[in-house]
Amino acid sequence: MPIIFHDISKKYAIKTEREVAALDKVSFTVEEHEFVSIVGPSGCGKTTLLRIVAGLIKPDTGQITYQGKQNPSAVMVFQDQGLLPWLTVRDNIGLGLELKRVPRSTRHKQVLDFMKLVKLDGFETYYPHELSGGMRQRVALARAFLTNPDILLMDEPFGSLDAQTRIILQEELLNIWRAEQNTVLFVTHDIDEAILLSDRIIILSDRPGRIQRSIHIPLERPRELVVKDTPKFMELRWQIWTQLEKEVRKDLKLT
Amino acid sequence: MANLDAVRERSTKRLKIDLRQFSLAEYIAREREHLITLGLVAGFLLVWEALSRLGKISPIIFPAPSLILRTFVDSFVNGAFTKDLVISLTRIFSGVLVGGGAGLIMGLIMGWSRSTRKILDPIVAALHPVPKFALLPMVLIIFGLGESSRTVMVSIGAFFPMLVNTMTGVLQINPTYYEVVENYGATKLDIFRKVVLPGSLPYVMTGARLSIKSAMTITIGVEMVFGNTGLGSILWLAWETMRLVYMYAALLIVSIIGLGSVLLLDTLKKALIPWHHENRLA
Repeated sequence: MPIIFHDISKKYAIKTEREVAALDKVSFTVEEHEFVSIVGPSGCGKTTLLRIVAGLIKPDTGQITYQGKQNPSAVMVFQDQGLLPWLTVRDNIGLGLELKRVPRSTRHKQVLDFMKLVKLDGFETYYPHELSGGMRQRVALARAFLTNPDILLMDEPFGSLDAQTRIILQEELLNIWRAEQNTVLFVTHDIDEAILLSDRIIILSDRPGRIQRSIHIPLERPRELVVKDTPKFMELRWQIWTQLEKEVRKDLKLT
Repeated sequence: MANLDAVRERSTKRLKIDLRQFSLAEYIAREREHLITLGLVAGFLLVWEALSRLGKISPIIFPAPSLILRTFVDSFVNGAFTKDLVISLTRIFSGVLVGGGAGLIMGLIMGWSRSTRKILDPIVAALHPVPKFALLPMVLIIFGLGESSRTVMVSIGAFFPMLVNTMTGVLQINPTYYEVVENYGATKLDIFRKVVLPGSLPYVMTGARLSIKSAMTITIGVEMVFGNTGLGSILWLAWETMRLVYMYAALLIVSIIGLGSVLLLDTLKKALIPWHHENRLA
């Protein structure tokens, strides 16, 4: 069953006298187990869209439907600061289950099993400040996947990491996703990242965000990092960039 | 496996002190600043002792430190101060419990609820800077000359630092933390348990420290004015009767209470907020 995003619009009031439209009648469909990335110029409403899906803000119009019900369960992986500093790694990973009232003993077992799977075992009693930025995002990913929602939302989860750590975490995400097969909506600025990870890339226009194009990524899975060196990958990168460039130039008033 | 080894090493590292490798020169080099501090204090006390014994300074106004220490020890042996010590400690404790407790609750509410904050913040801002001791006559008129006036005074003193710090503690919590738990469908109670309370705890601890400090100041002050019970009354009586060695001994007790409360809170802090940056280097 696909997740249907229908007619989503959102305006923000600036100092009550002026309104800025962030999203304008955005409609698209995400298939079950599909990995979809959203790219677009700064301020195009990518994050607004994710926050609407996460239930953190309400849209002015539109709805999200899945299996005939409104608002599918959605869990967000934040760019950073997504871990609670006062919880250990184990409690941070188990937070989603705890808030869903999964009893302690089952929860602990599930958390430990999952930590082994993503090679985080041994760090159960660490606090987030004792971990590197890359480790913290691994923990954040583990929590999101373990909660197993209808749709996973990722808001530039690797945006604050250095280039090398970023590559490793992209591979790690590919590995976890291969095993878990969750439906993912992924926001990024990084075109390479989007191509490497996604089945499909949605390009949003400059404000107000509208869907400019949806590009299917026909690269075979499972994907390895070497796929970046293939002519197909480079062709896709160029195709997406030329689309995106127009929108970025509009944003910068450079047209 | 490497991870588990790291955990184990981390937990045992602190306990490893190899006595065979102990070297006095290294110890002095490492603890240089601490040793200088100790030296300064010891030197000051020695000079005081000598000058007082030689009569170069008045032994009545500045009795020798050894004499003060003996009076201090004797007072515990014969129980001269015990009753007043217990009375003062009870006043400080009940003031912190009542005033600090109320400040904590109000601070959490005002930090969390924007409209409550908007309504009450101007009132708090107006009352907070009033020197609390100036309220004594008014409190005496309303609550009379009994123990309740003292408790009210100490509670007022303990209330504001706790309120202001707790409120700041809630307000400085990163908004993303609220979104994280809300995204998982947290109830109001969940948000309170998982974000508001733990997130503000470092500031609550600071509030508690200032609250105790304020409670001590007002307890001693009020006891001096009343002059019948508590360590403050001993200080005052010692001055009035010129038995200054008792005054210094009582001062020593008061300082130890202050120091003890700080040590207690530091221990509590390590246990309650092990994740906080103040504890990272410990």
